[in-house]
Amino acid sequence: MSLFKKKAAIGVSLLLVLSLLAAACGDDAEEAPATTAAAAVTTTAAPATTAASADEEPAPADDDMDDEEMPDEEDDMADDDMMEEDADGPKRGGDLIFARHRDNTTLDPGAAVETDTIYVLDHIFETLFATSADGSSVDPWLASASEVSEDGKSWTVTLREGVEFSNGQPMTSADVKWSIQRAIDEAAFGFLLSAIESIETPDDMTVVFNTSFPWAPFLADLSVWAAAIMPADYAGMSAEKFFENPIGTGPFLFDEWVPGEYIRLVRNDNYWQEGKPYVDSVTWTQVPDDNTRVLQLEGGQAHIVQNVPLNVLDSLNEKEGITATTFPATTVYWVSFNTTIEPFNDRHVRRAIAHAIDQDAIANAALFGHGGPACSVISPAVPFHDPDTPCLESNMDLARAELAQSSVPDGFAAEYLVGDQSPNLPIVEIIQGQLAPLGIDITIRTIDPGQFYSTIFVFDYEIAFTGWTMDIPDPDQKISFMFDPELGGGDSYSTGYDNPDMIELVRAGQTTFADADRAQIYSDIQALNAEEVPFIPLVVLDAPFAWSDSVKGLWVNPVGKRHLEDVWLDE
Amino acid sequence: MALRYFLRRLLRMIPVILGMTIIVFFMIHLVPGDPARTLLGPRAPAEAIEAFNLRWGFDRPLHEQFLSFLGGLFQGDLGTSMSYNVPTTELVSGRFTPTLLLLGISALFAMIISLPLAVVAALREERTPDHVVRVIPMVGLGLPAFWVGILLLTFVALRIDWLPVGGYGATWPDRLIAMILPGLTVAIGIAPFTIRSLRSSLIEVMEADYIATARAKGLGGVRVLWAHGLRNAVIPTVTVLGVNLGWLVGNTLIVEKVFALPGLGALMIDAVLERDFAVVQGMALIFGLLVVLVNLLADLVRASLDPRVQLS
Repeated sequence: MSLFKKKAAIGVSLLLVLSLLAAACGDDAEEAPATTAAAAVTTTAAPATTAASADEEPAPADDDMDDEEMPDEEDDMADDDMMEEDADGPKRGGDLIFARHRDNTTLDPGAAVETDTIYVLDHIFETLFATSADGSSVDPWLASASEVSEDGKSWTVTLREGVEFSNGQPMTSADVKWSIQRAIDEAAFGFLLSAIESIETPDDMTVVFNTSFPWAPFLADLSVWAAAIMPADYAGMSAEKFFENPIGTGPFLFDEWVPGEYIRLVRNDNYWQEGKPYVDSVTWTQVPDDNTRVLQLEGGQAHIVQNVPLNVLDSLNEKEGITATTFPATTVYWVSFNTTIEPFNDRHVRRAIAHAIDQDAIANAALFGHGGPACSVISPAVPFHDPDTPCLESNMDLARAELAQSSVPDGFAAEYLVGDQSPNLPIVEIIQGQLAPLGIDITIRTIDPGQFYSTIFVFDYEIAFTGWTMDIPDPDQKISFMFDPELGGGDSYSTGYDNPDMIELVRAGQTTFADADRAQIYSDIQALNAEEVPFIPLVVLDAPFAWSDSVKGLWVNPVGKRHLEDVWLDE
Repeated sequence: MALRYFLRRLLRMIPVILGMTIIVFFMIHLVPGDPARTLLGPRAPAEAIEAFNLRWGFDRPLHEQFLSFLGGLFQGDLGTSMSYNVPTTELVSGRFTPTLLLLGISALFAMIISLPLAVVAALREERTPDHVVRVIPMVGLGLPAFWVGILLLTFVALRIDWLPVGGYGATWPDRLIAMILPGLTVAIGIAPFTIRSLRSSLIEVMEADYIATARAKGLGGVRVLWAHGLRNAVIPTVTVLGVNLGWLVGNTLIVEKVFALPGLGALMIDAVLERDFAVVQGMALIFGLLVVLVNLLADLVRASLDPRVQLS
């Protein structure tokens, strides 16, 4: 008898070991995201813009309007129609299948922290402002205009006419006030709206936001998913009831969710963009394995797949009936240093490492030519990226000269902390090789992604592999976190970097409203980082997608939004 | 008799399960890693992290957390998933069917593969068919399940219209069809064990006196093999299958992922990565139960096949 018990016990322990193993080696390969694990979580995992999909029609994408010059709705529509001239124009109908590696975790934008959840909720709920197609600005979405007061502390936002919730109720300023207040009070990402001091509603179509200090990124912050507009008081329901069948202004309605399998949305006939969406329904299926997703596309079981492995992207693109490409995204990876300890508090050491690293080699080897070398901490797809940032040249002689001036002229040994997640490890291994000639002996310490942040936050590291993906089209979200140890709230992204000049620039960036002046400030920040290199930018990651030729009009902007209301199926 | 035995076995499972619960609880809680940080991300302010920890009770000492977990357990409450914000029991129950179905079909396929091969090998002992049967399936043992899965998807599913390229399906016929390739993948991994076991016991059985007696009575070869040979030879194989279940479940985790089956495996991997404590604990418990139960089932099957096995 006892034999059986023993067997059971062995079975169980085996299982435990196996599952832990599975977890440890488990392929996180799919998360495209920035940093290690958690960046995927916090921030927006991936994506893209219209540029790459130029042959499809870039839906209402290319109105590169500034906040001030409001788009004329009528024009917008006409524009659209003209662009969809190929064949007989967009066809209505069809059920779009979108395969991805993760399932939703919630239907509440306030609770959502994970990008794949957010990208679905974006189609049920919408925000007052939205990131433009190329990621360079925020456009009015449920709003139609905005104006900031002289002192920069009061924003008057006019709401778009004719917007109704999916239950037919018109959207008013009361709904907006209630929704934003709820986000501030309850949403996991409500902290992005913490500048708001009070909200007034002078009439049904006008909302005035008063901020406690002048806050330049305000409109971009309003574009965060957490600031989604819902009917006030959950349209008279309890929160729980409401999120069982949520009501929003988005192009699609919630239909069915089988956790672990799929979530399906169907067309909202009340949608304010006349004639959209084109497809009858969108089903996001969970297909965790990268290869299986690709095979499903080939087998016609999915129309669109995301997080395509970069190494198969080109060969997939050559297949008949399939387009596989990347959309520009905001993800940048970098080397970060614990500047509170020797020798990394010595800028000569950091500069020597920067000179020794060859970003081109990394981009080619680890990203298979997709994405590219990074010079600035701000990705090219984010506003105020400066393409002329004076980066340190990759040059071994300069690296040796720089190291000679440092406290450790003959090199040293260091530990490089990296979250065990694709594509981190190959990149770090390349760097290990590139630093060896300098006498810098790197030991790689891989760590479970779930442990990564708790490790760097207590400065238990020397060099680390981190990065960032944007949620909103404004650099302040990450720049203040990276360079302002106090207000940013993260000890300068756990580097301990504390430079008064830098902090002054960061704070000026938050309170300067004129675009030209802000651009100068962010150029200075990028230049100062390039000189002092608390962060050595490595590569910019693009978001890989593949879709069947029957899919028309797909575009993904750099913060990852996929406006599927613009997609139609030609089947 | 059998019922009393069954109940007694169930009772004896309790200490095993309890011990497992303790190990799993402390293992997942003591592994470094902060669920608040993992879920909320690096940029979340300290207040948000604090509120999160307060909400989920992580501010309390570990032993208190364990006691409340245990308290909930006795009331059938496995806690609430942090990622999904729904009760673990609800999350897990929906995922149970695909995994069970996969296990069942894999076991069936393993037997379907093993029976003819083992019979051929045993009847042609030490001759070419025997050598082939003993060597070729070993290849299956060396192939990682995810790779076999991808091969089957690429070269079979993509070419046969009625086979889906992964996924589960909405109706029962669809689901059974969807289980064919994943079941085959798991079976290829386990068949080497069952074939070897079945072959050697068949060889042994076929030399037994009662086989000679049966032959002497004038029974035909097939009848002897089927009624007297296999029936006796299959008993150790059932045990082998049962004992290997822990390993089999480990394999299904990977196979579920490759075939996009909404089973327990995918949930488990995500939960461990995200430190979703309640889900990891709940699932480890359920997997443990499953292993213990299947072992019990294997014993019952054994007893029904072999009257000499006493359930006591």
